[in-house]
Amino acid sequence: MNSREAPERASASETAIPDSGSFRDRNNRVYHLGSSIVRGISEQALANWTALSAQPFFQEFLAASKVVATERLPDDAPLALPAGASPWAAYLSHERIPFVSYPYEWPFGMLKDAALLQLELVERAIECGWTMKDATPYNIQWRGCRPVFIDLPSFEPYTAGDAWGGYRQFCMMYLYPLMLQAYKGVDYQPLLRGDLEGIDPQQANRLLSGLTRLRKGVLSHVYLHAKMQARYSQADLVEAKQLTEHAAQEMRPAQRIHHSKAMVLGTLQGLRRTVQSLHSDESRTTWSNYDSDHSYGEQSFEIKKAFVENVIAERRRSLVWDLGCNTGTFSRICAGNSDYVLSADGDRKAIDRFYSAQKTASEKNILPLIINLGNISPGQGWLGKERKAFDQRGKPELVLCLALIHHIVISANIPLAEFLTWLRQFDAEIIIELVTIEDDMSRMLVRNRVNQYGDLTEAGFEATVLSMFTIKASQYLKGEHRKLYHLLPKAL
Amino acid sequence: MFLKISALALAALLLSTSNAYAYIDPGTGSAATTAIIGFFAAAAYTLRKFFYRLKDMIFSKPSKDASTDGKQDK
Repeated sequence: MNSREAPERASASETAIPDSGSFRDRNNRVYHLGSSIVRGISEQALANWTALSAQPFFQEFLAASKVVATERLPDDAPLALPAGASPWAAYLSHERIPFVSYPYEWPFGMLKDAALLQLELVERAIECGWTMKDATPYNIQWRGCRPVFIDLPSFEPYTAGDAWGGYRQFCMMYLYPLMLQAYKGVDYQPLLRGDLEGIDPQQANRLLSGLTRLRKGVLSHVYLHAKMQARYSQADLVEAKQLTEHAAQEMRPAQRIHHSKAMVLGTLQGLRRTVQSLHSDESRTTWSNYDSDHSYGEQSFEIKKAFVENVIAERRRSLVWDLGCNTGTFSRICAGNSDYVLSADGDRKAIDRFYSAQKTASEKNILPLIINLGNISPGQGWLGKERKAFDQRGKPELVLCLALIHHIVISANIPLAEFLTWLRQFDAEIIIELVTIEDDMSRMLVRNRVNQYGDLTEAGFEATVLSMFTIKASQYLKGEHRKLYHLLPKAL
Repeated sequence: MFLKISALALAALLLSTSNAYAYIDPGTGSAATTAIIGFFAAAAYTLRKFFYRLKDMIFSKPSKDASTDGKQDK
């Protein structure tokens, strides 16, 4: 799919709302203008953009949809910034990404592909006399299973002798998480969610210790990096003490270690080879072979597919969420008549497999993410808004919750009414599968627990549902121990 | 041993005090690390380049550059 969507032109009548996650680089700021994405850029960033947009290597990236489709807005484009905000030298309009996601929601394959795109961009840029000032995966978003680089002011002219300034960030945000998963089998998602700056070299050195130091890239990018950081941190500490005691003393200027272009490119190529060599384990999890291992007979499974297909065929929807998607059977059904499908599951291996399969699949509008519904990604970072909560990033028209409710109510102990209230806030149609307490899977989940799930019956479920939704259609499955519902939100 | 070799390599590099700032701190320790890694990587990069040129001269094949390393696999 080589076609690129043209960026939407900003509407004149609305005030631009600053994106709460775009403030670190003072050279630019992203704004939401209705459904458009606009970026204000400084004089310096404008000069860079003007030069960059004429570069053949950049045009190649644009044509290949590796960087986000962008055009400069006319200088007289009427843009209303929030009160008190200084105008920018120019404004760029970007193609809108269907659903923003974060690296702590990506499976191994996605983080690896994002890392390889970052390295490809910076390597090519440096070959052409440009560089990239940072290397954060928050600058990469997804159109389906294709990574797209979105932070164009990251490109700047390369100064001969400079190192690549994004190296440390690349290690902390990409390389160490991938190494942890590949070499130690440790999930990196909780670490990246816990610290938005990534894994510090010294911390990584403690985690990737022992014989792991002999694995590709660890001795140089982890051990040596950590030792060097410790050495210079100690020097900074000594200097800081001296500054405190002798206030008049001049500060040591920043040190610049000369790097030839061959050194920078050689390092980047080494990083690329290291990342390419990393692989996650392929072992099965409970649900990662769902397509063949689901607890249905063929007849019930076909009835379930037909029920979903009927709802999907009703009309085209812009955004569909498939919660508890597993390896994506029903997401693929939805993709045929939806603009975009977000497929979420808490099982990282199932999502990793789903992502690997979708990379070469015909549907290009499915985004698989690792989301634990009992503990969804929260708003965090500066003011708790820099990275938005999972349920604040889009408004689905249809939400699928198939073979999910028993995991929510029994495994996560979330009250049924609270889960349904959460679903109701999206004001969306719902396809939900009731898995009653009599169902074998439910009984398996509850066998070591006190049975406090009396609402997980047909009567209890429908009583709760009918306070928020109307039932448009329903269908029994598996000897009436399960039931599918198509729900429409009631007016509040 | 590795650190000693690295320290010698680092000593061979030119240290200067001119400034190149970005909005993130690249970290002096990280820059020192890339200098050491880069020293060896550049040697390998240059050797590869030399090897391919030599190979081209001997076998008179179209030029292949070290900068294309690994990309043909994509």
